[in-house]
Amino acid sequence: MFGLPAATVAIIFGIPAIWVIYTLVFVYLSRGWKAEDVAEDRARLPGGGDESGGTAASANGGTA
Amino acid sequence: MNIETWFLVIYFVAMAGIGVATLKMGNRDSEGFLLGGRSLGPAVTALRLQSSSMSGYMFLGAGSLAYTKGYFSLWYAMGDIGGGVLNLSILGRRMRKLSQILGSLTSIEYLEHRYPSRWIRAIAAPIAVACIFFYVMTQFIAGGRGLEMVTGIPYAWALLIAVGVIVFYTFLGGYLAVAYTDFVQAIIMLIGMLWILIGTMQAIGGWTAGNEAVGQINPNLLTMWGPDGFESVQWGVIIGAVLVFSIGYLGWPHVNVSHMAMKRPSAARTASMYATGFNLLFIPAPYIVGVMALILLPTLDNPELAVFQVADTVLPDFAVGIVMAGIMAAIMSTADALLLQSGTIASQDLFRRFIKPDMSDRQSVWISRFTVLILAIIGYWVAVNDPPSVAEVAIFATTVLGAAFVPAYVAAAWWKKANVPGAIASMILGTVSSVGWQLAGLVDSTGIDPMGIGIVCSTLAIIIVSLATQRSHPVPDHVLAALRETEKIGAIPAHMLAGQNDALAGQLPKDV
Repeated sequence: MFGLPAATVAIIFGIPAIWVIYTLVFVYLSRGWKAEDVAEDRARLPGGGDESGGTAASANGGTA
Repeated sequence: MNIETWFLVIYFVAMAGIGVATLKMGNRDSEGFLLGGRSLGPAVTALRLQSSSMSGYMFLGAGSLAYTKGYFSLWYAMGDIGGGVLNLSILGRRMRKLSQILGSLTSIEYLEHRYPSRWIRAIAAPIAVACIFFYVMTQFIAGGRGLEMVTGIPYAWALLIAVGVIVFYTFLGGYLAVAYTDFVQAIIMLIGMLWILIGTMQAIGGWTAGNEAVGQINPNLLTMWGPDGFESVQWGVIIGAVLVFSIGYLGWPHVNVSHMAMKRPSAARTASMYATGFNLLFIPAPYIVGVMALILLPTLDNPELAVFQVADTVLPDFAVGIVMAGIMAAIMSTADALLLQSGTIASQDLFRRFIKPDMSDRQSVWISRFTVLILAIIGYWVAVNDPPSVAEVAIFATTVLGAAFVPAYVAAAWWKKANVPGAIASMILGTVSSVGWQLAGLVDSTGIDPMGIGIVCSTLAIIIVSLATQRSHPVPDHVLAALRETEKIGAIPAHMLAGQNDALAGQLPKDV
């Protein structure tokens, strides 16, 4: 394919495909990070800067 | 002036304008100057991350490797494509959060705050400055060579102008200015490179036809095993080539500072998509153009000019001007970001930390500028008298940075038992082993890349020494508390933020 040996095609398309999959898996597994933004916004509001950082704080969430 | 020079001048002025505008926006205090007030969104974070480590190498080094080694050179691209997402997914959120809790403003200061000992900074800062300097030098050479091509000015004068413009950009100063110009440059680099790639494909009659023509020169150039074929393949070198721009990325202080400047820890998530998308489009292009230059320019004297010469050959005149000027501006802007990091490390991490702790922000800026000037003069002198290979220097400098710092940065965010002696042993062994391996010429005789040796040594060092010294050098409680908070998904509690709790944010490092 493309005038290249099969091994070259497999490597130059296969490895980038692995990185794309890695990116998608990371984005999926880190979807819980949005909760951090909500908690930060809440903490920034006047009177919202409580010690716990808001109710959204959760130990060991997401992939973090 | 020819059309290329006019475009170049317009680019320089536009970038300087962006620099001045953003400087006024974000220069209110040290956090504003050094981290842009931690205000950068995912797109700027991702593209700055990529452009601050690429342009000179990609336009000279990558093309040169491809011209001499064929598709074998794409092993570097295979690692590089994933470097951004790997860095953002492993370090991004945690480093952003931990650096804010610890009150760190530079990526070296962050290491000292996580591993509280002045020896951490005393060892890390010189390694980082030296390696970044070598990397900046490759940008100088790239800038000089490119300017020579665009304007026709002799190399020595072109280099002087390039260095002068780079230093001027750096004097504009401020992380926000650098970040936003880098963001624009990354887009310009991408458009320019894709334009050259498309022009190349049209000139050779398509990718398949190009590959078939290259195969007639030497069929091994189409394989991933090098011009001498599978029998001569060195797996250690291939593994090192993939590692240097993927895992190695995690150890580059000038790249990791991007995490600390993110607006929110969660910006790492979206930034990873921008980084991977940008890399997929941009990174393979100069390598493929370099391979195709074998057909278009079979008697090229200097392979480092492969991409520039191909652009000059395949693009229409007006496009050559636009593309080349854009590339030149990108190279110079990247160099200014690296020089700014060197200056910051010298002023904040060495001078303020060890020589004059009470110096004002104004004095700090002048120390930084003086450092930039000294590095620029030395860099110019080396680059004009005996310019080394851009690819070799860039790969060597980034190899040492990766070997020295990857375990220290990763363990800082992920391993609570990583302590001061472990981090010191890791940085020293990583540096000594990778430099020693290269200087002793062991790459050819063993077939093992210095990146592989360096990363193994530094990783083993941090694990073994940290575990062996847990009783004598326990990780301080305030660092453990910061790490526990970093693990959580949620806002940082007010009492942990910088300036509100001396134990966590004031950071008075204890000596080992």
